[in-house]
Amino acid sequence: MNIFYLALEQTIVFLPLVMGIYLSYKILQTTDLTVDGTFVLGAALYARSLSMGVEPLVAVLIALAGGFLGGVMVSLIQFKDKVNSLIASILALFILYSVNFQVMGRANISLQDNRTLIYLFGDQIILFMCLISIGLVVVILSSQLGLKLRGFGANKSLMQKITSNIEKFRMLGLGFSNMLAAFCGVLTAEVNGYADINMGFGMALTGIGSVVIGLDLIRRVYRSRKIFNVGSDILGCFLGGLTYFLSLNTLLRIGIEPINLKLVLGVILVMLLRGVGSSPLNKIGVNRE
Amino acid sequence: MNNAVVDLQNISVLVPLMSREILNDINYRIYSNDFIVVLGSNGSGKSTLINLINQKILPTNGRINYSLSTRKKQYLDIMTLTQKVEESIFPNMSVLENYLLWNYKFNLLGKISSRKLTVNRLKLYLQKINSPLQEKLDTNISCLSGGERQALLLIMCVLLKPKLLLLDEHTSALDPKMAEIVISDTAKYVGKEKIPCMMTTHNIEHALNFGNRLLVLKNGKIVLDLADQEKQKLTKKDLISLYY
Repeated sequence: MNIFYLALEQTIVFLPLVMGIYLSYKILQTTDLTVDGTFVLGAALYARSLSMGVEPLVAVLIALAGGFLGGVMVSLIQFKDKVNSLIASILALFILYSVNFQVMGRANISLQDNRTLIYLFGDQIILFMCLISIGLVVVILSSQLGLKLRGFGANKSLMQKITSNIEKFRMLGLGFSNMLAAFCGVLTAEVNGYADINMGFGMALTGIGSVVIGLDLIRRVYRSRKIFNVGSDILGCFLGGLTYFLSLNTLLRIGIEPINLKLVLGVILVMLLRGVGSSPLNKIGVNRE
Repeated sequence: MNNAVVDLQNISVLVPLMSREILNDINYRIYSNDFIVVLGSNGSGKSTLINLINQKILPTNGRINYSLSTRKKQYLDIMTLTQKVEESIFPNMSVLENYLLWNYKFNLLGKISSRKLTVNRLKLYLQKINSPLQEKLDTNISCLSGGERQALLLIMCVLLKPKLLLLDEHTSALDPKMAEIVISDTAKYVGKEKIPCMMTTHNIEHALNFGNRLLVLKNGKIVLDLADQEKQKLTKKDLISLYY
């Protein structure tokens, strides 16, 4: 039960990132690894702002804006599909490493002596912030903009024909996606009590794994009559994150060396993803995003 | 006769490197109440002609004058349907969502104010023509058959009232019965809404039965250009002989 509670806590902190990846991977249908960098950027901007005496809530807003700009940067690299989305995101990641260092000024900032969100509002602020991010995703996806973002993902060239300018959808979509990653960075820094230049390593991968597994899980349990259901998809993101953290904590509990953790988790992710790939739901070919 | 909607002047299209002329010195005008059927063997330049008019490709020589509207981006007013239905739909989205997305450009121009109004227009129209698609608004569009999708796209095109409708073998991938339904629907809608239309086809019967003008291309040149009465006198034999 203890493990479950721990995993639940970690999932709540992690959920904004999973939803961010859901936006880029499932809605826009591009592979965006930039979240590795914008996750750190969010934490870095937040920590640096706090250490400079900025109000915590304002610092959160600064971090969100930074994350959004990170997303805009990738979309500009990808502009008109001149650069492959995967390469573009690795490039952005490369650039962000320096940016993050510049923002932080050093490799690690501790938040212990600052007035943080938890210090001001207590632990429940994390849950509250997570709910806000869920609200944001629900609002975006059920609006006209959400429909157009999905249109962008479903058939880019047709969207281009209809609207003649699809770059703004790429920009907004990746912007929101990376903003959510930065938000997750803020929450993580808040909970851990520090921001670190390397804290983003592997986040995108874990996120994509969570999204794929979570959405597959939810489709096995509950088949919505609607083709697209924001609620069940977000629940799927949550379940995916929970699965990941449950396996992580179980592994730690049974005494896997932390050094080998990524190896074992990687293998587990590969097996899960391959398992999803061969599920009968995939073979029907319809009713899936 | 009234003014030409599209005026093609001395159009040539060359494939670079191969020095093959796909279209050779074409002069042609499309008028506002035309339903033009374009015939020609494979490689005769039919699709190239369509792609020229919808500005997908540029001519090597010559120029095209449009008098479709006063808007700057005139290509917004030309809609094209091809036999590749997949190019014109958003997969894994419902019929209704597809329709809303298709309507997007008109939202921008403020022609249609609300989503509800837009949706009602589709529903009313489907009711009026008693289309079986009425029941399928919330269905995943990927679950519809090819014929249903083409029929739906045609209806959407008509509802969006383009200034020019281009159909590039849009019935080629359909079974004979469905092709018949779609083609007669096409003729009906186009006539009723008075949308100028250019349609390419390989079906000689369709070419004889539909449209008020006929254009036959061969090796990038116009070999036959008939209108109204002359077209009606034409027989199947005459047309087949043009292929040889």
